[in-house]
Parts: sequence; C-alpha cells; structure tokens
Amino acid sequence: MTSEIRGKGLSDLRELLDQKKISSVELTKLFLKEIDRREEELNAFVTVTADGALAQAQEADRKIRSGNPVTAITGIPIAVKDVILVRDVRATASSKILGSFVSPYDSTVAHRLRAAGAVFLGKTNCDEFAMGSSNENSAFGPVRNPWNTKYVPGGSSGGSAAAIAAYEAPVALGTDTGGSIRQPAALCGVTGLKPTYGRVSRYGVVAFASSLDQVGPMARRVDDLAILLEIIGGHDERDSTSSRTPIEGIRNELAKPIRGLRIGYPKEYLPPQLSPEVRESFETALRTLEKEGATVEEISLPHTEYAIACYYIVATAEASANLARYDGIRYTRRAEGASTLRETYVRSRTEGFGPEVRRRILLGTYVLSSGYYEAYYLKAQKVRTLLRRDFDKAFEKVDVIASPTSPTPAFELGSKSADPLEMYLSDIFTVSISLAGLPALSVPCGFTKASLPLGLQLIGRPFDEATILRTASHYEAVTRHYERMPPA
Amino acid sequence: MNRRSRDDILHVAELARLEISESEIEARLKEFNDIVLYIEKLNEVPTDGVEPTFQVGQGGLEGTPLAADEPIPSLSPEHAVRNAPQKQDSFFVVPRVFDNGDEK
Repeated sequence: MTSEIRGKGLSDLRELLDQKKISSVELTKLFLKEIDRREEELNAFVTVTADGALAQAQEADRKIRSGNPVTAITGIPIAVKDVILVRDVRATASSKILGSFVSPYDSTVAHRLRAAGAVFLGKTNCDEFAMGSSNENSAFGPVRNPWNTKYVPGGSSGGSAAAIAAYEAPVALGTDTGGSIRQPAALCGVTGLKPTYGRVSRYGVVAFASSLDQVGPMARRVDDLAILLEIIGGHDERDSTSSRTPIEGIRNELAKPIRGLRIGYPKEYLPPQLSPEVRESFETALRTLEKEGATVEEISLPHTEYAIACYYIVATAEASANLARYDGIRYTRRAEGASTLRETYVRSRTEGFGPEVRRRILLGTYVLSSGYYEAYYLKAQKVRTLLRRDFDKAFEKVDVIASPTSPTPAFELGSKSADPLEMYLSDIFTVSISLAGLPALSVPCGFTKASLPLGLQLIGRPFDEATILRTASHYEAVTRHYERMPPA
Repeated sequence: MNRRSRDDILHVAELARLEISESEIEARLKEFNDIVLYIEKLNEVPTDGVEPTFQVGQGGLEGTPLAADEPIPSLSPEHAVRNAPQKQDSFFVVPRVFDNGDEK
C-alpha cells in the first residue's frame, strides 16, 4: 500500500478517482495486494473475492471515464462481514455448519452498495454467528489486532475492524447485536456505527437476535459512516422491522456546530474499579467536547447493573429460535452416517456449531422452555422496558449520552476464553443501547501506554444518528487520532 | 437457586437437538449453572405492571406492516436447492420422516 493512499477515507479516494490520478482497478489491486501481504498474520478475511472485485472495478472505471454520474462509493473497495450475504459469494457466518454455502442472493445492504458502484473485496472473519466479543470464536481461526498481533481485535466484527485498522480495506460493513461493531472499532482504533434499530434492512443478514441485530458501517473517518449509512439505510419492503423514517440529509448535518449540545455521562458507567487509563481518556474526551462548546453533566441509568443478565436472556432466546434452521437439511453441511432424521439433526448441529454457539443455544432454549418462559424471557423483556425508560428519562435532560465503549482495551488472545461469563461482562457499556434500540457509535479517543486504542461511545435518541455523528465529527477533527496507524 | 442437574441440561440439549458428550457434561453443567445463577439477578428487579418490550422498532407501535398480496419474482426452485447437501431435481432429499423419525 503506497503512503499516498494509506489511511485515506472515502472523500479523498473519490477525489483521486474523479481526477483520474488512479483508476478503480489500480486502487482495488493495491488493496488486494495489501490483503495478500497481511492476511497470514491478521486472518481478517474468510473469503477474498479478487476476480469479482476487479470486474466491479472495471465497470466502475467505465462509468467514471464516460463522465456518468457517480456516487460517493463508485469504484471504491469495501469489505463485508461474513454474516451479510453477497450474491454468488461463499457465506460462512464464520461457522463450519454452512459448509461451502454460496449465497443465491444479495442482502439488501449488498444490493444497495452494488448499485452504488462499490467494489466488494471479500467477506470478513467474525465470531461464529456474531456471538462473541473477541473474534476468538471463529471456525476459521482468530483475527489478530493490527496494533499488537498477540491481542484480540474485539468482536464480533473483528475482521472488519482489523481490516480497516490495517488498511486492507478503507471501509467495511459489520453487524451489532450487543456491541459487535462498536467494541471492535474501539479496540482497533477505528470508528463504527450501530444505527437505530430499523434504520438498516436485515434482509439477507444471518440472524442472531432479531430484535437487536443491525448492520452498520465501519471506517477510519466519521464522514464515511454517514456516507455509507445513507447508501445502505432506509426503508426496505423485505424487512418488516425496517423503518420509514427518512435517511437523506444526515451527512449534511455533520458540519453544524456542537455549541450548546448537552452531553450526559452515566455515573453507573464509571464504577470505582474501572481501569484508570480508560477513565482518564474518557474524562479527557469530555473536556475536549466542553472546549468545543458542549455542556457536560452526570446522569443516571439506574438499571445498568441488570443489562447483561437481560441481554443474555433475550439475545440467546432469540438466537436459539433463529439457529433452529441449521439442521443439516436444506443448506448446511450434513453429518455423515446418520441413519435417522433425528440423528441427522443432532449430529449435524453438534458437529457444525462451535462451543460458544452451542452454549448460547442451550441457554436460549432453557429460558424459553415450558415452565421457565415467564421467569426468564418474559421477565427480561420487562426489565428491557425499564432499561429503555432509563434512556428516555435521560434524553429529557441531554441530547447525547457519552461513555467509554469498552471497560478495557484489547486483551491477549486466550486470556479470557476460560470463563464465558467474564467475557459476557465486558459488554456492559454496549448491551443496554442495543436492548433500547438506540443509535450509538464508537470513535477513537486515545491510546493506552501500551499503544492500544481506546474508544469513546456516543449514544443518541432514536433516529438521531445525525447528532452523534456530528459530535463525533467535531471530536475527530480536533483530536485527529485517525492520523495514527498501526505498524505497517 | 436450585442448581440444575444433569437431567435438566440433557433435556434442554434434546430440545435444541444438540448432543453433550459424557466427557463434556460436568464442565457444561457447571458453566450452565454459573450463567443461570447470574441471570437470576433479574429477580431483584420489581416489574409488576411493567409491559414487556418485544419490539423496539416502529412495528411495535403500528403493528406489523403487511405486504401487498401480489406475486413478485423470487428464487427459482433450482436456485433454491443449490446448496442442499442432498437433492433430486428441485427437491431436498432427507432421511425418513415417518415413524417419529427415530426408527431406522
């Protein structure tokens, strides 16, 4: 990757392409070469679609040369998390169970990107079925953090985050159910947005928890999040949970000032045992935002301590239902030598799913089972209402809620895998937001003494991506953490 | 909390069509009990009179939108079975379903 291109966002790449300083084919080849160079070490991609990418790039070059109107992403490469279907490309959800499944159709988000002229570099590695916070649960091996390859990139969208951090791709799509875009973005020093639930269609996205899942953009620059959101988002007839709230015009909001913006930080997110480095970088970020004219005050989200329990009931219950379709019959790997239908189901599923997925299916099945449904699932959905009300009340006083994205920076591979519950507890800052369906992003806010990235989470009112993007954009312009890149 | 037993977890596994091998069962049962103990924290929260939130999106407020009753192009049958582990023409081939699926 040449130093003139390395690290550039969508606007800069657009300018280079439009001024004919580089062609889409040349640009795509640069990224493919970088992927080739780094992949043995990083393992961010499950499938690289070099031929398809070059064909799309050639088509984009034809458009650009002939002076036809282009979009912000025409001819620019993007990586797509392997739970998002791309037509005629293998989809694995980072699991063995899908075997060599090749998707017969495009997800809505892939379709919209394709129509906008994006170039698909490939499918990125993730935690299996998006279940995890470290990308150590992949059937294709863990992804490594480009800032220190002994460390995790975070999860579940670890491959997308690492690819952007290492500049194997300038932008990527991830999915976020309980923090899976925001947390890896924070741990890899890039930026990522979980839109409001219903903003972006889930059609063609491998379902984990249907009332929580959202597709979102990941990038180096906040502006790119806005660009991608406008392309992929908006109502889709094929997703009955997708919202008709208009999506145009978000990007125009980013330049507006943040003077007078009211920012709140939840006191429950700054417990005494929080890492001093995380606390310090967060408090510094708040002061920076104050200098830019925002007001900052403490708020309370009183039910925070119940969020993880609530999430791990709701999400696993929905997952157990969604993963029932993987049965060895229609589109999965089928276990060999099974002699009855029941044995086919049991062996295909037990052999095909990894341990964390099986753990969550068991828990989810349990909390929905006869005799336990009221005690667990129904109870959790009531607590969910209380969590949502906490946010509604807070948003009467403030416009944006800020917190650290993760209680810790990236940790060493293997250091947390022994105790699943310990891993679940690290989701504490992200899960409530998912349960409430609110938009939230992570933007880089500094580094630890060990040069590991830290992220600032900004949470907005429903459908108010504009305000959190605007805040992040101003913050990014002042702090310029995006200028620092991991070792090449 | 009453710790769940081997039989409890094996029952759940059966519902989920998953197998837990003899060598794994102690470890899986311990993990399962640790997690269930943790999620029972929710019993501390008073929720009388609180409505459950099943849906955070707009579908919850206005009801689920219905599609128009008009046929539109979809996957052809041949295309739809492309990834089947076993197929014949545009049919999925499966082991016998009758006899409860348990008989050989």
